[in-house]
Amino acid sequence: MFNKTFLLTVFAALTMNASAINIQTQISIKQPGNEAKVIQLQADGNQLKSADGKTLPLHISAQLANDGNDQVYTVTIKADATTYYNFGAQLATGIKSADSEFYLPGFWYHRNLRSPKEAPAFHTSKSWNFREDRLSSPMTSVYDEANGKSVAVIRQLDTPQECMTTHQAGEIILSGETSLGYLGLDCEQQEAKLTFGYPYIETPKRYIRKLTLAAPVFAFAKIEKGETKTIQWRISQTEAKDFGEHVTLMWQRCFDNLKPQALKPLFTPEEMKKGLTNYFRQSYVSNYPLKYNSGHTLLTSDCKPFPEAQVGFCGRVLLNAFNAIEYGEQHGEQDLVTMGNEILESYLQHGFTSAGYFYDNVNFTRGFPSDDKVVHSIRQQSEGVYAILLYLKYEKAHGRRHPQWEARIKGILDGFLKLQKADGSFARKYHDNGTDVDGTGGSTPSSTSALVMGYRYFGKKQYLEAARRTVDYLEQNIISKSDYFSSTLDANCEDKEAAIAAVTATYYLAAVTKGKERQRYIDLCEKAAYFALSWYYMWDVPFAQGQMLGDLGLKTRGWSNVSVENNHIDVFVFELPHIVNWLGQQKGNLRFLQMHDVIFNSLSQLMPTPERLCGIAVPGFYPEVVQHTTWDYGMNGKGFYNNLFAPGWTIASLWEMYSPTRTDDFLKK
Amino acid sequence: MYKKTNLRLAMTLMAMLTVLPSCSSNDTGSAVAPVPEKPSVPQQEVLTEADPTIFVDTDGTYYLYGTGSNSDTGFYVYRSADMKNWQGPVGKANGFCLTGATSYGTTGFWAPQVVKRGDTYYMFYTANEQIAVATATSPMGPFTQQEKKCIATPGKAIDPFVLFDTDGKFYLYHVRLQEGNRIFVAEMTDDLMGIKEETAKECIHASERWENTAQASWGVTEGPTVLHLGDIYYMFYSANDFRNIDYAVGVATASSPYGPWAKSPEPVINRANIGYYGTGHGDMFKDAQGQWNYVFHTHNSFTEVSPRKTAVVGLTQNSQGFGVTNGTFHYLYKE
Repeated sequence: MFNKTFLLTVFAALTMNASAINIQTQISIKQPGNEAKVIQLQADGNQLKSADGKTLPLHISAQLANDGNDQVYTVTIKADATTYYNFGAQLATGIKSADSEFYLPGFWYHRNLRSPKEAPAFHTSKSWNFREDRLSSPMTSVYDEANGKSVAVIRQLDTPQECMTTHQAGEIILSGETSLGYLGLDCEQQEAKLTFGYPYIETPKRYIRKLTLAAPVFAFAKIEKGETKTIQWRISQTEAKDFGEHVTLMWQRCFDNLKPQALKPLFTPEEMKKGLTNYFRQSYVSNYPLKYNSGHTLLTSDCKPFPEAQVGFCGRVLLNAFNAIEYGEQHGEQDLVTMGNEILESYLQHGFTSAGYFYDNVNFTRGFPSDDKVVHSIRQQSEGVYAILLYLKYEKAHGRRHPQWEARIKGILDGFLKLQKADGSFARKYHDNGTDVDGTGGSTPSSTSALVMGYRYFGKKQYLEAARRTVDYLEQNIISKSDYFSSTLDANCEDKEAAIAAVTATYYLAAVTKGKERQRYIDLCEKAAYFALSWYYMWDVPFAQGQMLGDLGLKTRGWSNVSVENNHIDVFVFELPHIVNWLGQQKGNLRFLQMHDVIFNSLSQLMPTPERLCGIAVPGFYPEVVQHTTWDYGMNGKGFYNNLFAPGWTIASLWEMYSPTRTDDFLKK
Repeated sequence: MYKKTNLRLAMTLMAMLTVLPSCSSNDTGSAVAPVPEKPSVPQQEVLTEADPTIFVDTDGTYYLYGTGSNSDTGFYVYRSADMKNWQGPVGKANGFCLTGATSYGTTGFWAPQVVKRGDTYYMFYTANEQIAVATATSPMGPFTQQEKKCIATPGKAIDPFVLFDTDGKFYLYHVRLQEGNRIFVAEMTDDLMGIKEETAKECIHASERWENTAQASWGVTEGPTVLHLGDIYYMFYSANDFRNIDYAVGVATASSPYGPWAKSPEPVINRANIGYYGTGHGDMFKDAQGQWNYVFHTHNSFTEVSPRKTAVVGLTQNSQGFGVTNGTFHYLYKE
């Protein structure tokens, strides 16, 4: 068995300082049928040899070369005999473990201590190794809180290759080629280390689905006699004043290194919207008091509707209804207009509790929840308000007024004024009478856009004031701490949506303020944007033949991980792309402008059409849980989807991306 | 089916156990509120006569007929003085104006059309996928035959429409089921009881994209209504399978009752301009104000085809033929 207790008998090079690198290395060699042997290496000039003097079947050399401010570490393995091997290294960072926080893009932030012990975090172990495809950029990095230093190791990408394996855990000999190595961290001792190697290992556990750790894996690659394999990593150091700046600088490093290029999109925005309207038609449910497009808990294999309606979150019933109305009218498809209006009318009649809030969720096999038991989330209420205000503004522009809807929305926003706490936050969840169910404030920024829009529509200044206070809370508790957590309703950890909520909130305030105040919001927006973008892939993970996503030619650049607990990718973007584009123009940030194009052009890749369904039963039902790494919700693992999905929000998200002027049209005109 | 259902259920249960669903509504509480109250104002019942036709009698009374829920028995008839409120069914035989007791047919009573000649009312209709004609002295029936029989055609035939042309001849437009539902014309005998088969000619079949959006091997054009206005013959017809949401009405024109027919490239009535699915299979009539109207049916809802609902929309003649008059669409309701 692979022995992860390393004997520190020899140092490979000079100690860690501004110009010298300390890397310890080992090679594991597996004879098929035997447990692998771990051999510590020591440097002899450029050669890495067995520390105990034994002859290895491999010639291994390691070179460190300066490249600007970075160093490139190149390991070359030449086989004297056919060998099954795993090469590993540890970079001693010179940073105390006690002062260390880590950033592995899209997967690990700080110490992941908001995650429970069932997810990768310091709770379980202070030493972790992960396969590279889990990470939105193949980088591991450490930040020294005490001294403001940053150190990173970035894998230099090889030609993408991946192969299937006979089993998932323990020692496995790969059946073919993989380009995937591993990256990780080690704080078991006083000095923090960054770990890396090839091919991949995952220790002490693999993270195979949400809150599920499984037995570790150690992959061995085959190298034929006479063959040579070269692997490279870039080592980068800098200084940062806080973890947030560390993430910003590391994101920039990754961007400059990986240079993500925008793909040629498969479909234009108009073609995408036209295709997505099939979802409006095919998902429509009209046999309950609330009419809705069925948006969650659908099987990918048949897309049949589920008897539950959600105002926002996964279902996004109201936003989809408005999108159908707007599209139907613009394109002369009156049936979509009728359908959307039926949905909204049903909510106007039956969609409110005694206190005047939306029913967040109604499951029609259970019935409407009684008002004393119903639970609201500030997020879903805000998403509902957002959708209806878009609708009201649109209708007003077409000479139609809806005083009943206006009264309802004002009622909710006035309710927000009462719910808001002294520190500007909102409880994540609350009862119909306003008392807390979950008082944590991580969902606060989801209310900001609703409040700002309410201010614009109704002219009520208290809404703007409340919005300002949400961003004061946001800045103090989330942005300044670089701790973007708790926006989803089913988890409480670092997640992408929390960062996007922060970006959106600050953007909305920047749109309706002036001068120094506006500049403050722009600066906060940019800070949050780096965090949000840290979830977005800058590279294309390899797939093996037979893994459907690879067979479809999916390039993962522009897609994004969900959270540190949910390691699959999806199309959650909503307003982020146009805000990133705007920031790029405001700040002259060319990387943002480029990254906008990467995301914008990439997300049409899995559009189900009659000719190319992409594994979904019905055209237009855009997939959700895209498994791009070792992730398995019970259906086929990497290269496939979960068998249940929520197209309600995927359609809404893409629709927002393809309607980039919508926010400004509302706020500024 | 059982196995497939069980498999789906098992998959759903397994997935929900393993997935830790992220969109679940477990936090909405278990206590259930009463179902929202029905509105205090009782809602009017919409008429559900499919393939409808409206006959306007000489006194201005409107009579509505169609393929109803009793299509295995016969036809109902509804009556209205103002086209808004409909009484009925008012047929003289228990609401029916025609049944298989007195006229040809044991099943499939579809798509009737009523015309008046002298003092006699004629009902042309489909039953058992054949065309028959019965007579009555009242638009409320009973429409009867002296001898129960259908009009002889080679093979199956449905959807009759009779044009009383300006040259004194009578033309039976109808659908023959031959490699699709195809619209034919044939001159009728003077007694309106038969056709001159030697005059039968195909008018149209499904050839345009909008007429066959599902690209079915059995194309459908059906439900013809023909007007002769000035020098032009206008044929209103429906295309696609009736269960298709794209079921729609097109117009073709000709300078002779036999064609050749030039089709409108796009439908005149469809879900895009009406706002509901499955629009079609109706009839043209003029209202009391002399305006053209088309009575037709739509699907019951966006999710259910049946029972189909009866509706009317105004049509305006323009340089391209006919177009929907904005704001005139409405369903028909029982009084």
